[in-house]
Amino acid sequence: MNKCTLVLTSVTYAYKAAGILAAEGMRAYPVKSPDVAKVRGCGYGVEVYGDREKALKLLAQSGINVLGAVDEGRRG
Amino acid sequence: MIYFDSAATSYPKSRAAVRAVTEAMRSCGNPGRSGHAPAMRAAKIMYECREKAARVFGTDPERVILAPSCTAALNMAVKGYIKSGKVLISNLEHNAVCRPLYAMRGAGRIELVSFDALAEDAVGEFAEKVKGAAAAVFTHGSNVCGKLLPLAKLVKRAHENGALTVIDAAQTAGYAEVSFERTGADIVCCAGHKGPGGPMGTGLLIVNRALDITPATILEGGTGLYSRDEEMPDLLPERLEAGTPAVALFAGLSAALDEFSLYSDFSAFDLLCDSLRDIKGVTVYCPDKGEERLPVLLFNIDGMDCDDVMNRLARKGICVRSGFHCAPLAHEALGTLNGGVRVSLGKQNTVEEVKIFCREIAAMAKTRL
Repeated sequence: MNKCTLVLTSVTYAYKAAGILAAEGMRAYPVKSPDVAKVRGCGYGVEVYGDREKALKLLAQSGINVLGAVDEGRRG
Repeated sequence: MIYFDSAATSYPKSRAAVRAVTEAMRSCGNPGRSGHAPAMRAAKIMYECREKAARVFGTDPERVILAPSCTAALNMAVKGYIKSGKVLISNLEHNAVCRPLYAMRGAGRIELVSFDALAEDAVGEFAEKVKGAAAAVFTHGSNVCGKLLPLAKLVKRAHENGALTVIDAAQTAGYAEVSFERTGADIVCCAGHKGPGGPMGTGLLIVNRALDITPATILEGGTGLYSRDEEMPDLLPERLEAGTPAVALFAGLSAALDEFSLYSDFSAFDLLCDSLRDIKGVTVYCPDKGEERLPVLLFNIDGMDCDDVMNRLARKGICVRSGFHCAPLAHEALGTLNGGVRVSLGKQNTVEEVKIFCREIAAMAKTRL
């Protein structure tokens, strides 16, 4: 199954996003994201198992600002 | 013991709330700081608490700021969202509203004006005085006499004049309808440990979805977010939540919110009002039955100091509060310049307890006749 990390603006939004995706049957877990850390110091995201585009669409519909998406294996 | 001091804090706390506090103390790390299991458990607890509060008030979880008290929430709201100009308050305000505003007035930032919430045409007076105001900051319900203000009507008048509304719902959350849908308020502050039944040390600052203002901060520090930035993050709730929060207490509040319901049975309170009014030498201050009210009243016994009454009741295992209740303006408005004895009921109180209480007051009053 595809796995990616969606980088979010805060731990609050990470939990909100995980709840939204779970409600749609997607496996998603809040994680402390190294990808945000590179940009602004510290941050959180949501690890998503499944269709990345579907997850991005669902979060956009809920007004959640996704800072970026990193696929498994692409992290530096 | 008879506990008639619910306006100070709810008592007893539910077993679920106590258990949640203990479990969180055993299992949680610092939320929003790391990715290990104890830290993430704590972050989840904080988020769930926001989510449940957001459902009660009708807003988004990120617009629920978890504060150490209603006083802290009011300070953040007043100092963070009001820059300058005329600010309207009522004559029933608690010091949690007055003192931050007095401090702002002392610094030359604002001009303070008040309206008479006990007046027959309180809405009319409010509508007149709110003209040209930057904000109206007022209580939803008096912690002294139980008077409930017509919140939706006052908010509407404030908005017609472009004024921001900050509501002190310390006494009303859990006792009256507080959702944004019903009230239209911009910001509501409340205690987590009163009507909602959570632990002391919890307060909520709740922001309406429609309000799009980035508040000034009154406390800066670590948020676990954007650590390289010199400024606090502009995102809610983290912007207003510097430092490590009281996770265990919010775990308790979260558990209490699972059991949230409004106080609705006024039979014990009605009996209390009627019985006290029938006792010779006792003066009661509370709204009449037909009026919107909280189960809170103030009384005095002729010739007795209110603290003496409280102490005598305490010796008999009856808990009430005496004095000025941190609301000197309300006592001025009621004419109780030496304070009074406050009786405030919760859902746990019974008609039988009220009967016992009134017998004690009747016996005390008799000795003074």
